Amino acid sequence: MDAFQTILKFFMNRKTAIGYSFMALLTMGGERVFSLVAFRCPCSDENFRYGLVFLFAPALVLLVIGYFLNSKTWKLFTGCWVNPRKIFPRGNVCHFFYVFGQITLNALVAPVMWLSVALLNGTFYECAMSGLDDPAYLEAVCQTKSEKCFRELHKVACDKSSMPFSESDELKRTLQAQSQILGWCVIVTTALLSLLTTCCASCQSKVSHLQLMFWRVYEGTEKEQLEQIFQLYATKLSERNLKCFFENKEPEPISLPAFQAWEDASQLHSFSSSKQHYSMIHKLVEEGQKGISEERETMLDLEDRREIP
Amino acid sequence: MNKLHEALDFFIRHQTALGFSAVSLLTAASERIFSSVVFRCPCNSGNMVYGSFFLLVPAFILLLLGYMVNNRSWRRLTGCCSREKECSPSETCSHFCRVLVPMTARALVAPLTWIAVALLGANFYECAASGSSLTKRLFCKHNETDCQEKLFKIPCDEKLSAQISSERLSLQAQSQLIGWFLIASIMTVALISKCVSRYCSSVSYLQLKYRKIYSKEEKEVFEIKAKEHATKLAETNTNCFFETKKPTEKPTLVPVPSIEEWREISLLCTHDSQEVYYHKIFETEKGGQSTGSNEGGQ
Repeated sequence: MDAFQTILKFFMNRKTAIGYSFMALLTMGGERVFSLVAFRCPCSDENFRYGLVFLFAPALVLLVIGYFLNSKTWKLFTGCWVNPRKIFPRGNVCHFFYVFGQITLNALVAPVMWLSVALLNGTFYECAMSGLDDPAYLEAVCQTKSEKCFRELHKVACDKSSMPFSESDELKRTLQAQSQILGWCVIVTTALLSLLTTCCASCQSKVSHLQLMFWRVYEGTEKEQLEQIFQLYATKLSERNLKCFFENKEPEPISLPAFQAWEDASQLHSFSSSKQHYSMIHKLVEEGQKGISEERETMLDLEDRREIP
Repeated sequence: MNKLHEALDFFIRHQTALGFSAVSLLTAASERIFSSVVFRCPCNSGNMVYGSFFLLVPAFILLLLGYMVNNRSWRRLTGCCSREKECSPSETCSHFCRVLVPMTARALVAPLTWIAVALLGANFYECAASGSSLTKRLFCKHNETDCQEKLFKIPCDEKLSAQISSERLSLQAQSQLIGWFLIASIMTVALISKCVSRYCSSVSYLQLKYRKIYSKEEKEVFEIKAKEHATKLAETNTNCFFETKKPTEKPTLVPVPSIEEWREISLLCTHDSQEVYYHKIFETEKGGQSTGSNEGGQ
């Protein structure tokens, strides 16, 4: 048992790396399957559109799925139609864009993986570019080849052109080489950008590393505790309600947080180095719910001299 | 069960070396897969660019990944822009170098493995060299008109390679020689730098060993204590939220270290990078910072 625990702990410590490797393997597998089963290059004037759709449509789908699966998206957007002030609070308008930017960067991982794997494979790009009608591009590719190249480039992907084998093979290899070089460029650019953004974000962090580690542990633990307490209170409340319904009695009072308390606890939290609150609930509990609404009222009063609706 | 425990102990004791070996094996395996499945030399004027891309770009990507994955680098970097000058410039510079060099050395394991295995495999180098002007000067002595074209076709045609390079070393042989030379020089540099760092170490062998064990243990205990403290704090906060208690009922509040204390133990300025935890938390406790721990309760 002890050995099993140690092994589990080893894998849990590296769960980010394992998660990303698994995602990369899944993307590679998916791309191979699509490439072998679904993809049939038309070898006509439609090559360009067909190839581009296979290259970018799955990337778009993966981006949308990435947005769906990120819980921060729903935390950000829930209730914003009813109360737009929620996502653009006075005095902190940029916070929405900062959080949305973070969510987008997280969601972009899978599409970029798809694009790099598809470009390294070369099939989709080869089909797309063999159908490109641009005279300058055709001139560059068919430079040292026969006249047939200009007319029959789109048939090269299916090996149906009337050019000699060596010429069509070389054209295929050239297109694949271009695709793979583009793929490596995409990977390098993404890796550089992520290293630079992580560096900058880390450098400008208002909290030291160890406190940041503690903050992450606290967030995870608070989430677990919330679920447990939701379960507990939901059980208590439903038991009371059903008992009173069946026994036709008056219900005894159970104290639950007010609507405004739920609203305040669901807001997005940003760490303040003066107050050191690790979450909105921590802030609410230490400063009191009234403190937060008073703060907002005061801010509105100073700027708008209007009441909150 | 006993055997499993013994095996596990062995793995834990040598986890650094095993970790690096695993990374090298994975890199070598990926290089072989790329070389056989993905790599198709175009056999035209684009050979040089294509071959160099496959040889060097994945190594660069592995270097960037090595930096990103290295936890210690983030420990050093977090918050350094927003802090006031806590160290003198010369101290910061020398400490930065002392931290950057081991970090780069660890990040360089995967890229150098990739380059070494790729050179031993010879596909990438052969493709790149067959398109380079240096090879043209070496092999095309008689300035034949189609010599360059023949050189481009070498990676796609084995018989051509034997024809052209009868007097000199073939491109594949060159690649493998360069690969072995690279491996030998990396090993030599690694040995020399380890010798130099041990020679210049300010503490004895046994104390160094003790410090390594202490910092590992302190890190583990820190994580356990942080989780315990976070659980207590989260329980108190969520209970208070649901029971809508006022924060003036103090007895249940959990003490939290202040932001200055956190900064103090994450501080960079030390003479020896391995001393950060061994000294910082130890000194912080010795210096009687216990008054700070009650701040959260007020």
